[in-house]
Amino acid sequence: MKARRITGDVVIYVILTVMAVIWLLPILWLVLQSFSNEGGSLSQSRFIPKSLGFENYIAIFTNQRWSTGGWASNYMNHVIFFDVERDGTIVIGSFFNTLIVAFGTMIFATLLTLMTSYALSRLRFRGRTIIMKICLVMGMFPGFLSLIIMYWLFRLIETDLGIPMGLWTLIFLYSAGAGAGYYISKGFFDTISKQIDEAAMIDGASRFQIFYKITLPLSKPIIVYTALTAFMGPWGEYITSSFIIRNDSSMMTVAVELYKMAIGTDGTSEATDYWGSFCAAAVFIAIPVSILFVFMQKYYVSGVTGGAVKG
Amino acid sequence: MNDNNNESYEDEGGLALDSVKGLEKEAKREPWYVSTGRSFGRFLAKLAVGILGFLFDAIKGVFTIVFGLFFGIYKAIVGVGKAFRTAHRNFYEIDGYGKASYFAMGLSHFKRKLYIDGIIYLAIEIIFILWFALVGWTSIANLSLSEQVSEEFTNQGNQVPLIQGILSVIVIIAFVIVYSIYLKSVHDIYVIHNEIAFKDANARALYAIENNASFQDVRECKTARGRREVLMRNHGFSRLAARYASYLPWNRLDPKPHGIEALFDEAVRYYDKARAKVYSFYDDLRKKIRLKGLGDLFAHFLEWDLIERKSTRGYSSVRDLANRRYLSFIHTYDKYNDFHSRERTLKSYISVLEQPKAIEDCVYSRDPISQKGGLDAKGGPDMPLVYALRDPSKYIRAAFPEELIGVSRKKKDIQATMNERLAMDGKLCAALSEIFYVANEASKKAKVPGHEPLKDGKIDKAGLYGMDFDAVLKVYLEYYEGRAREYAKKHASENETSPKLIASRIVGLFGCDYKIAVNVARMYLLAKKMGSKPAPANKLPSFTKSGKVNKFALAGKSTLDGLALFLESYRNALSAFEKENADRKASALAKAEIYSRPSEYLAAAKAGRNALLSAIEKDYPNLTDFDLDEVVRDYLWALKEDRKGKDAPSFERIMAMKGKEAETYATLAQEDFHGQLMRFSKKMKTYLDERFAVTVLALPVLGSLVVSIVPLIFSMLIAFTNWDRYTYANRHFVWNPSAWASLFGLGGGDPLFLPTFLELLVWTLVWAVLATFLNYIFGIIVALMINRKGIKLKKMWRTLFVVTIAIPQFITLLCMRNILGSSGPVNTWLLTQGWYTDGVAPALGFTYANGDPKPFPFLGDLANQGSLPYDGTNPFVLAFTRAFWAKVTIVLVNIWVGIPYTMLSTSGILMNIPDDLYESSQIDGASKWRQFWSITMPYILFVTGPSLLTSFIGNINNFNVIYFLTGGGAETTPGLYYKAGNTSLLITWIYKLSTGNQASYNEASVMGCIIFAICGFFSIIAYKRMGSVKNEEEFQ
Repeated sequence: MKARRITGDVVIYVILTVMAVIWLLPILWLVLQSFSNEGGSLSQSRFIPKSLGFENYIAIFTNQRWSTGGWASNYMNHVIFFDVERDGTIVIGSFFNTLIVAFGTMIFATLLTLMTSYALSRLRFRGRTIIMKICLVMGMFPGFLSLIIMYWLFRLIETDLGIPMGLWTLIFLYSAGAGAGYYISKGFFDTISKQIDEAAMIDGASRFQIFYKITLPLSKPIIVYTALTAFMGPWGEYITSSFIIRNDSSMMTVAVELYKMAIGTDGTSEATDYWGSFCAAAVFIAIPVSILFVFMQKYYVSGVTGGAVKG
Repeated sequence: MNDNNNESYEDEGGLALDSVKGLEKEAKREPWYVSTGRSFGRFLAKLAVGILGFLFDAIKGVFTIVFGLFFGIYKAIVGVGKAFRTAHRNFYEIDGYGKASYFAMGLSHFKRKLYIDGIIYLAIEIIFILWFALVGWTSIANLSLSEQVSEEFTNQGNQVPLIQGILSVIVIIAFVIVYSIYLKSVHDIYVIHNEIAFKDANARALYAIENNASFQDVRECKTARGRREVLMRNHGFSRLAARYASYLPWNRLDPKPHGIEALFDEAVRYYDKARAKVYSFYDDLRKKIRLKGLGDLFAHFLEWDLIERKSTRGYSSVRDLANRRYLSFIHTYDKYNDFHSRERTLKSYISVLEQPKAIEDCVYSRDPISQKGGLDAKGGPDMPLVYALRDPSKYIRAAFPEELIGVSRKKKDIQATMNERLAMDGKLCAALSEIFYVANEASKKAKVPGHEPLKDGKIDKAGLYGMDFDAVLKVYLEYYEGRAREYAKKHASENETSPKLIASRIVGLFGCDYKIAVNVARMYLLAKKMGSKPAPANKLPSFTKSGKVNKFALAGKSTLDGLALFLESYRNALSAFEKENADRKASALAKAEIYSRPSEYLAAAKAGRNALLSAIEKDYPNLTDFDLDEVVRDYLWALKEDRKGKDAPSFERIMAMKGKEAETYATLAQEDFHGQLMRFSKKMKTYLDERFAVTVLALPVLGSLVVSIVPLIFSMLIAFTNWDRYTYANRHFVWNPSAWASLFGLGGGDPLFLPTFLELLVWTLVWAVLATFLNYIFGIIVALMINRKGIKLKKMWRTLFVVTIAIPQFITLLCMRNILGSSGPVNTWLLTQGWYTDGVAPALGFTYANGDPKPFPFLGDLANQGSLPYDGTNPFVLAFTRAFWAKVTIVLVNIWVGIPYTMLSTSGILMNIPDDLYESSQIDGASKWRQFWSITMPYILFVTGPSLLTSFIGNINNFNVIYFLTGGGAETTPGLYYKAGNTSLLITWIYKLSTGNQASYNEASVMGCIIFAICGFFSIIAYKRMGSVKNEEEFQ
């Protein structure tokens, strides 16, 4: 019995090790590529680049082009951090753009999500179930069909009202519909005992006071979770931003920028001159986002399972 | 005769039928010609009846049609006439705010000094008109005429006018809806307004009757029309007043008072009738408006109107008065329903205080329910369990003794039965069923020698074997009480001082309100404190109505006695409270009764105030002084009014009217009270309380409306235009359902569209199924491996996998794309390792024309794979196309991406499965395999089941994996329609169709609608099956 158990353990250790290698190798490859000194996309065909160095990182910070023959004379088309123009103006790159969008989204989307989920969880009003059903059904419609309409509406605003598109457009698009994703925080609010509310109501508290003074202090974890999710959203989001941004570098986000760096503008070639820079930038962006994700791992679990445990 | 008999037998039916039939035939055999003739005759008769029936039906039908037509036309004419008349009245007879327009609405608000509301209404109207005049109309015109597109739009193509046009259509529809609802409320206002006018007319008419001498010019007119004109011209009567007065019997008017009174009465009666009608109509309308979502606003507006009129014109409706009386009648407190909540609070106090023993236990123990939120929390005793075990008969044995004792049952069954019969807490139920199950099993088995049931403060299950049922329960009880004692010892000092700690335990045990629990804890501590002091000689225990106990009454008593005193005081308070309310109700009903029997008190009333007082007091001792006063005053007033005059109301009549009114109060008192209209500032405050939902949801709903709902309607509408790649350049759009037609092969369009759509649909569904279920199964397997008992470094393994999902997906996917690309490390490795040169590649057909090996098409026909085609004659290449390999890669990479997600959520669930389940099943001899299928899998499925459907839907719309890996395939794939690739999902195809220079947006919209339908179908299934949706209320 014991021998069987040990064999089982050994087999599982072996399987897990093999799987871990499979899962980590691509990422390790990416990190190694970022330290490649070969320039261009030559190093792609090897697992470990021929020569190692920090040139790719220098390239993305100084916006120079590190290609096969060394430093190229022209500048990189992709501004990741920031760039100083000849006339001295500072151009903010995609990283900071995304940071601004992420912060804006975090504030507005968190507010909207919490408001919706609180209302749907704690308050009883006419049309509540209808709103929930509509939210569910709206999630079924392919999002970017509406996105195209939104794009033209923004163009309309630009031409008719003179308000140009900008980062606010992205913040608006990311956060305005955030209320529909109320499920996880509603599940959390559902777990807070309703008796507390009732007790407060007997003592004469209004619903706003209950929300502000009782429910909010009790729900710090879900606020943190919602805020972090909203913050992380724009970092990995491609479809909306690519459609809205097109080629406007003033509101480029990292996802679109990196996609262009990796694929090239025509969307067909597998590797470009910017391959090494792409890897460096990807590593740079992945680190903070990954840390955040690991930090809110446990919320993710309770989010997926939370709704069902109660059933 | 024969036939009849047969039929009657058949009617009876049953088994004997055949034999009976046979007997009949045996008995009366007829010659063939008779039977044939009879059946022929029967046939003829049936035919005749049939023809007649048909004729009759036809005639009836013709008549119906003719009459229907006639009545239809007649009704239509009448209906149209009515509608015109109503509309005419609505718009013609009312001045000021009768128009169906926000202008009028806004202005009428200004009239009432509701400036903010007025500004809102005006602004809405003005914005709409301006917008529509400037933008909307031109856009619609542009869309439909479409020949001349204004210059300013040329830069953006025709999308801008198209969007504006559709936006205009939506806005107009919205306004039509709003107006139609608004019209109703306008009609309502009209009715009220009419009533005011009517009262005015009534007053003027009365004035004219009383002072008819000065209306000589009116008397001279022979016709009513003439009188009307004179009244309007010479006397400044309104149109309605003139009409009213013109019908008065001017000829019979004479200055005698009697005549005036008669006329007066007649007029008043007429007026009363009209008013009643108007009010019932008004009420109906208001109800209807309230039922409509948007109409609430208008109903509100109307309420204001009513109240304003009441204060300025000085008359009040019966209903309004009743409401006010009702307020003074039942609302002792400020808030509606406050009485009930107080009663409830008192009752829960009593229910807690009724168990002083249990409260004491709370003080000396630390129950895990309030501390950690679950029975399985380690370290604390389970107090509810202790109470249940102390008295098992109360909980279980009394309920079903023979089922539990001596009969082997599954734990689950016991729990189910317990749940069913005794509505007790689920966790307690589970724990008890476990104990009872063990007791049962133990009592059936032979005794294990050399075991003690209780060892080192823990229960040794093997030691229980051979003991009888009650003995096992006793062991458990001993065990739990021992734990309770230990805890009491451990936490004695902190428990004695903190009412909050005790309160939390009381909440856990009794499930009562926290505030009540704190108060009870305080009472307990007070009783305990006073118990240690000697009782003062001069203070005796006393109680008050409000539930407070004289502190000194407790001195010298034991804590339990002190609690009993509290309990008694609360009981007194409740009974006093209930009595008070009963008195109020009784007095209202009594008043109604007194008013309905006027003649009985007539004599007493005539004898004077005091006699009446004592008479009523004798019959209704419960009546309060206030009510008594009112009744007596009414009686005396009625007596005074009841002069012997011919037309004056009799005493009886006045009292009967009063009685009716009182009855109305009494019945209204049972109904809800909704409050009156408030000032603006107060109204705003309700948005933080009763209407907090509106405040909170306004922004999210608006946001979703702008970002998803309106664009959704847009997209669906665009599916019916000709915005495709051909017209994209022409900038020429019209309404045209060509995309739908070409999809369903109804002519027009490309014949490839439908087959391409079907191919991609199949691949989308296959992909969604594979992606969902493979990820799910493999994820569970990985989670099980990591969570196996012997495996060390669980956290490290988990984190290793989590790292891959922590990195933004586009990075990992682009990375995979380059790894598997033709010049990526994998293909390079394959080439250098002699995989191809050893003859594998040529055999498989992966060669260039000159025989050089070609990279393996992991990602299908991405560009850069050379213009040279693969060996088209090779059977392997023919059997497994490049698209096939790309699909395989996509599914595998998706597993790579998806497993960690499933693993993460599943291992969370695995850790939550209580160990007891495994332990007890092990005692019963379940194998590991059996445990997995009977415990682990059902648990996982139960928790993650709903998310499985959601992720299925998510995979149908999974854009990232496909788009970043292959981009859906080449833009122009032979055999596929515009922009579709071999590995495209519907969603990536839509993306490609609707982006780029030659967007074919109507086709994209058509497919969007279809995806919407498919996903909607699945999501409705998911929604209906989601337990948390069904039992939502139970979990709060």
